[in-house]
Amino acid sequence: MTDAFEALAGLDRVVHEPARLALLTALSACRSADFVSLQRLTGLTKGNLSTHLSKLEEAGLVEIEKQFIGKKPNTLVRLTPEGRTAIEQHWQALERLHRDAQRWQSVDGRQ
Amino acid sequence: MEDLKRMRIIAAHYRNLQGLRMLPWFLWLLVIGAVNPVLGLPQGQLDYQCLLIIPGIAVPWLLSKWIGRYYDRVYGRVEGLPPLSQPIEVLAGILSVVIVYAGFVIDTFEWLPVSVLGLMMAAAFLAEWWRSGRLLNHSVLFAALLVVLSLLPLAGTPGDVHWSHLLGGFIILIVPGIILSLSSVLKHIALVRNLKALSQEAS
Repeated sequence: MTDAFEALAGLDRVVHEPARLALLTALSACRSADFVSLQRLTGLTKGNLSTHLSKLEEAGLVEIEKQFIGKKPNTLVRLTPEGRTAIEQHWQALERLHRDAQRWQSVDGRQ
Repeated sequence: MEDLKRMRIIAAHYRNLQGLRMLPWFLWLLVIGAVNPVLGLPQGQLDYQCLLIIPGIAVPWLLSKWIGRYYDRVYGRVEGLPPLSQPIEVLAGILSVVIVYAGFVIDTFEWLPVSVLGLMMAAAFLAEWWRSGRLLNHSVLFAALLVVLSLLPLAGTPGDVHWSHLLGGFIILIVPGIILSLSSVLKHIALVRNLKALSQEAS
């Protein structure tokens, strides 16, 4: 069980924060997504989304590209290779913890 | 965790779930099928069919462009992962084109007493259901309906109706027209409902 707690403590805080985890998960399923679609997918407000995207960009996990489509500004977000690796590893760690938690539950149930 | 998995599926199928994009084309297919002379509807004179087909291409094209802009404005853009990144997928794409063409030929020349294209479409609906993480449950219903309709000729010929007429006009154009139109509307509803649920869970 100590190993599991260590694994839990070892989770990357930048990635594990719920809103950022949602953003990285959504981005891991596509090549890129714009600001509006990320807002739709995560249900975050514009301000919150901007803040979290900035933190992810600072951590080198996403790339943000500002462009114009016609005359309208468009913010395009994509995972960096490091970001893709980080979210994949994070999901693997979460799956492992999930399996461990289920094992503990079954052990508790038997006792 | 389940919410995140669902979000991942929605993000991966974001454009596909924007079903209304294709609706004008499916309705066009339906219209073309409905005026197919084999059904005894307006006889297929060349000028009549040209009048219908040429503007018929422009109208769904313009409508789908307009609907696409609506989706981009309201739902944003998601660029999917490259679909043909692996040689196996390229090969699968080529094979599926060959198989669909073979099915079309078999149905046209009535080499089998069933609609091969109908069965293929049913398989495509099931594949879509599976790939979308069982998000589009209506796909299973449509697949079942298509299987029944495709196998219907095995039950015999009803009255004066010749199966080739049904296979040619009904199964190939009208049934897909109706089913694909309904499916595109239901996909849009699935997108809206799931995004709403995700948004509520986030707040």
